[in-house]
Amino acid sequence: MTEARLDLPQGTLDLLILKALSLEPMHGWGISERIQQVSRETLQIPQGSLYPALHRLERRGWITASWGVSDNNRRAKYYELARAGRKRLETEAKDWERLTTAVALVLRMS
Amino acid sequence: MLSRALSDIRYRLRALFSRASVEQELDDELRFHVEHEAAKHERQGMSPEAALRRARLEFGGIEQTKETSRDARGTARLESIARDLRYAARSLKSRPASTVTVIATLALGIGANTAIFTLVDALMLRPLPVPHPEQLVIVGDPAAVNENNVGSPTTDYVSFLLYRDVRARNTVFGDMYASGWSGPIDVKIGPSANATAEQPHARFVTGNFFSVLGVSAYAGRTFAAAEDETPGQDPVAVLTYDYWQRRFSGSRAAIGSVMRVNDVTVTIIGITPPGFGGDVVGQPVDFWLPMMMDPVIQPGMNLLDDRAWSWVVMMGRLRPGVTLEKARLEVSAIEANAIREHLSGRDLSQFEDGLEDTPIHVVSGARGFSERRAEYGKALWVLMAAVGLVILVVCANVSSLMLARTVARSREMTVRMTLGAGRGRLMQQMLVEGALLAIVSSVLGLFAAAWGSRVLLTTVSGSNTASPIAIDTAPDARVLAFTATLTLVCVLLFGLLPAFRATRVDLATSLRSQGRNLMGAARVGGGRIPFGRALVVAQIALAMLLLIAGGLLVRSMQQLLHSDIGVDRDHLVAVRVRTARSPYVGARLAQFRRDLADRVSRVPGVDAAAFADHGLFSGGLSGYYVNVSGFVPQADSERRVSVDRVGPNFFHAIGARLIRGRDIDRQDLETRPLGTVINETMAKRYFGARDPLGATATLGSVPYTIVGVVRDFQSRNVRGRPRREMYVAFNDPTTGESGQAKLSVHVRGDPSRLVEPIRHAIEEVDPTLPIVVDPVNDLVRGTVSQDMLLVQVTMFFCIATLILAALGLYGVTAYSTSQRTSEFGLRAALGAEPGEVTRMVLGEAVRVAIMGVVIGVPAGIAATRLIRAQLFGVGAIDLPSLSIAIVVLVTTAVVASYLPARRAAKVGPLEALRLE
Repeated sequence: MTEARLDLPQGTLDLLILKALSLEPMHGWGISERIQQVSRETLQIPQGSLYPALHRLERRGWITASWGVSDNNRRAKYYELARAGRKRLETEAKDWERLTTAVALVLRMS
Repeated sequence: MLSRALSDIRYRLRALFSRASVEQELDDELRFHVEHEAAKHERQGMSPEAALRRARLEFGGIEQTKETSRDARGTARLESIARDLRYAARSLKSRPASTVTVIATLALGIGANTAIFTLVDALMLRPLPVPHPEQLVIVGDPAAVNENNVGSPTTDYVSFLLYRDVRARNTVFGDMYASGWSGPIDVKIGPSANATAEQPHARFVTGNFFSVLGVSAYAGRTFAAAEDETPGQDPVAVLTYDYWQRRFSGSRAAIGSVMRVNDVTVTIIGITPPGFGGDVVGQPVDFWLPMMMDPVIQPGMNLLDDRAWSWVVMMGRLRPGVTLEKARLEVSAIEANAIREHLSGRDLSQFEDGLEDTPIHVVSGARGFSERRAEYGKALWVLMAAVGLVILVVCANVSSLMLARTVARSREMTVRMTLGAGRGRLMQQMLVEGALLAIVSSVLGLFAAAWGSRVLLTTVSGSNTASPIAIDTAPDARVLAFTATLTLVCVLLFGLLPAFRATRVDLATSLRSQGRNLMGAARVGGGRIPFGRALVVAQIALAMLLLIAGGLLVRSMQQLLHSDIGVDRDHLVAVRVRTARSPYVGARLAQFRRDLADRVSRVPGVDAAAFADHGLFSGGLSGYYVNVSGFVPQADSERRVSVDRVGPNFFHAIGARLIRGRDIDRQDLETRPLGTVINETMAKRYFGARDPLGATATLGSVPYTIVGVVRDFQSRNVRGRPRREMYVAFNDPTTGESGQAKLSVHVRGDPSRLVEPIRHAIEEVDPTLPIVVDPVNDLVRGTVSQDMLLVQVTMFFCIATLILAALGLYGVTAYSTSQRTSEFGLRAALGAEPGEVTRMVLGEAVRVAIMGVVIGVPAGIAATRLIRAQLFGVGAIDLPSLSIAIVVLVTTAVVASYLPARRAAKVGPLEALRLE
């Protein structure tokens, strides 16, 4: 925990959640840990928005939830990417790539 | 997209209905997160307590997260409504008496509206239950060629030959059919030869009737086109579903079996689908016969070949893409040409003139044919307006009840608003309560309406057994939509207003005044009492309006039932004997009429009996053109007269007054020229100051000598304006209506007592014929049955409104006196007599009532202009009924406020102190 963490830009939380879930079903804490690890601690998921986001995605049918047993033998709510969610992830990821490329191009302008 | 919507709905439903478990899951999930986080910190070497504290800190507000998660579920609003619903149900259950009152009142209002609307819908609005009813078009007859027919001059009736011409030449319809009522028929069902004859309702229709309408058989088959080509060749019938159920218990074996219709054996080939009641709305039909069977089933009527007999209605189905306007243009031209070909001379010029005034009648047939629509339509709209007023009063009443309830809850409201509940939130809660009440009431109201509309219908039909009104009163989508809208309007009317008032609370004053209640007057929300009072004034004004209308209708009914119609109506009996398919034809029928009159006049209690072609209130009418010596007509229409053929002593028998000359006597039947009596109106028109006696009036080529002038009398309906009428000696057995013999009988005493003796006397002459004997007053009542219905139902609504207004006044008075207990105590302590307090409270109630009257009377007088067409013999302002209405209303007000006033007077100083 050294470098300053970045705040998530608006709207990217959904994308990150979907991406994290595309690898395997996970519970809420697992998602936040995974994102933190993979981003080398740069991205910190605001806990206050994680759960509302999960519930919103579930209502939209992009992820599904089920209760399972966690590694330490506790009952935990696992989220899984639904088919609609996978499609959503693809488009959102593509949009994100285009956006960052474009922004980078503009920034490199001399 | 769809699956997303589904998942959305499923999610929200679960969130809504298994709220507890969803909340529990959220709780578990968040706790799991925090514990995991704490475990992570522990692994990094923190103490368990410090780790947990750190995890909690990092997570932030757990409750906040929960709230946002709930919002993300998208059910917050629904959940709050569900909470309000549970709350409303609890709060309504805790006050059963007032809840039952409100629900009963609302159910009455909604039920009455739905009942009347059901009838309006069934008779006036509902399209025929056939595919694409909007393509159907009715083609009628111009009034001008329609003198001798079975209907009134401006109906849809045409002659069968005209239908054939128009159909053959038509350019706009895919096809056209014709249908006509069969007239009275005798039907025998079952194998035994002496099965009793029944008189169901049948119509003759062309072979394409079902195919043009697009109705296919429910069982068996409908007519084939070939079954309507050769007269008398195809004795087949198609039954309605209802008749099949009623008469054949829905047995499949009925199809292929036979019935005898006027002694012709007819095979049943099919059943129409349930709900299809034919093309004539409001008139019963039991089965259909092919048009070409008419000459065998009704021999001698010659209905198919006579252009003078307008007895069928015709309907076409537009070709795709043809508009009604185009159809009107083309069909009118075609029909006019078809008519012209068969006219000549004066008839033709008269036809051309008439066509300019009343063009050929081409209108949408989507709702089918209906005479009932014209007959009852206006009355139904008047009733609709009346029940509209009733629902307004109901809403005002419920509104003040709700208001009283919210006043009682004002403390709760104040506290909740102080604690930060938004006004919208509180209003939502009150609206939810209103909606719950309204929905329960409207369901009850729907049941009440289904029952009510049936009762109304049987009441009307009861007075008219010959042709009951057959309409489907099962509620359809339109009725349900009407009720739903009405319910919504009610909720807004009675829920929103009190909600608005109750939440307009001035927090500071309100909180301060909550503890103390010194002078008693409700301080919370200041203007509440005047508002409640305004509602009562409105109720009384509306009740006044209805009472004025009801009073006028009752007075007009009295006039209709008891007015002088020019004959001795209280001592007259009308006799009809059906001679169709009997040996009595021609000269034998004439002799039979004479025999009947002779025999009946010998019955004890009978003064005189005379036969006539139409007689009194038989519904019959003949129109002719007359030539009167010495009178030069300016136009053909000036020659038009109504003609009846009468036997000896007819005017004596009906108690009409001869102004000049003499009655028709036996001599007139023999000597030529024949004698005739004319009425006053005819005498004035054609003779003016000249003496009509001895002058000649010629009908066709037959000259009649005028032997008498009779004072105008009504023989068909009470309301009509007197026409020019001519009563000629009934000597020619080939003229007049065949198949009937009619007598007018003058009796001493109560006519209904002589009905049976007269019937027995006729049975002595011939026991085999169907006989109908009615006191003339009953027939007169039959002609005003729709007025009677209007009066009865309006009176019912008047009484209901009056009771509601009384309840409203009682409620407000009782509430305001209970609020002023301490004031009354103070007055008592200062020496006021109990009578003074009573008078004061009563005085206030009467002031409210008088305000209502002052508003209601002009409104009522203005509104009753709309029902002027329904009135008979009373002006728009009828002082007797108006003063009775006012007295009734003010008396009701005094009675309603007497109890609370008594209670107020009994308040003693101590009682008032105890309240402090």
